[in-house]
Amino acid sequence: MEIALSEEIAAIRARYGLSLAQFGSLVGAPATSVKRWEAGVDPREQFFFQLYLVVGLIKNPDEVFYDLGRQGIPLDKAQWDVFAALVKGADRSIDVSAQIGLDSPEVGQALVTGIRGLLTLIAGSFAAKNALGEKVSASLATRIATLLK
Amino acid sequence: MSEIKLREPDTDLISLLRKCNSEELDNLVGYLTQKGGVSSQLKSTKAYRRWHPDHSKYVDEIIAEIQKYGGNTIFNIVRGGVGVTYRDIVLKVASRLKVKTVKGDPIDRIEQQILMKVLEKSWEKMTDTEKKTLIEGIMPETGADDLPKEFPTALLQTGIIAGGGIVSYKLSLIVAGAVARASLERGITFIAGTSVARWSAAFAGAVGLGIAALWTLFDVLGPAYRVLIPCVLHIAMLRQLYALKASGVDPQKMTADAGQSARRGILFRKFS
Repeated sequence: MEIALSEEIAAIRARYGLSLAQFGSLVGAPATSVKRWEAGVDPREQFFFQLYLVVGLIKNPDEVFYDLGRQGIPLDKAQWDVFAALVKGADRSIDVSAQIGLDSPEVGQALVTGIRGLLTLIAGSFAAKNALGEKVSASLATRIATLLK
Repeated sequence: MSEIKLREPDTDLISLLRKCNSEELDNLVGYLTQKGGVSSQLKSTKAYRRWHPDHSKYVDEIIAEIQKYGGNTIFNIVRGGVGVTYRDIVLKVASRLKVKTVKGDPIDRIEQQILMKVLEKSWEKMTDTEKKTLIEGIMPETGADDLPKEFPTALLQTGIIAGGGIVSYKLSLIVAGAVARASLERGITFIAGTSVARWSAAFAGAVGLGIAALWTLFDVLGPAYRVLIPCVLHIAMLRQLYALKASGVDPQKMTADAGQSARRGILFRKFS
């Protein structure tokens, strides 16, 4: 079932305890933009891709790894797993803490570090010798490079 | 329930592949895993690790991976992480190969048009001898004098109409086999040792050279198409195979001149 992006952003921020600025930093947008998106304002076109990518990385980094692979973007699985573990660990620790009656852990920064690591790996794959990736996904490289600035 | 999320319903793909045995699925798994390398999601599943090479045991994973190749799953993650239907994939491939399709066309017709397009592009790369070998292989009654300069779309279509499923199957087998040899460096595994295999091997080289040259085109279309196009061609061939089986013909025992007499009359009327 399709879930509205605005609800998705709000749910992610609430679950991981991310501030507007922290979430904004992941997609290269100011906190005010994030606030507007949550209120239901459609993001500008330039942010759509970043939002989908970051939401995808938070919800299921493994899926993104395989999807990028299908698009011919080679990634180092061992390196990917290190940062994906931060994202997945943040997620799991929230559930386990709830199960054992612990206060919700502060995992926001771990999540941000994990996502930035994954984005850096994606961007790095374009710098590698990869004729297909460079040719097919030049716009993707530019967008992610902009994101990491 | 499959580990890779399956998109259901997908009537053009799921029922067909679930009928197939492991040998018939072997080339599909090859396209998905050998081209995907470490990025192959299929290879990462528990079902694959447990059952490979008994592919029929994890056929839903194979179907789901094909569906995902057809979609941009970065966007799909937010929508539930499933791929697209096989029909969407076939239409996408047809569009990229500049095959004209009519909305609502049955899937086997679109697949047939894709096969013809691949054959047509391959035709441009063939020598006259190779063209003659191909035409005679499909329609033995066509003499060398009939060899046209342009791709003989009408001749082949007439042959398909006259010969029915057998000619369609032969055509699909030639193309899928040539693509398999170019991509996986092996032919269609499930026909190995049969009379069909011996027949197709007789002129496989001719088409193979043309198809190998086409590989550059598949690369230009994008990495996903290096997997999608061979998969669609293989599935098209499997569909023809099962259509024949359903009509009581055992394609494994098919001989080179099967269906020849039925076609001869129609071809004679049309071209004499």
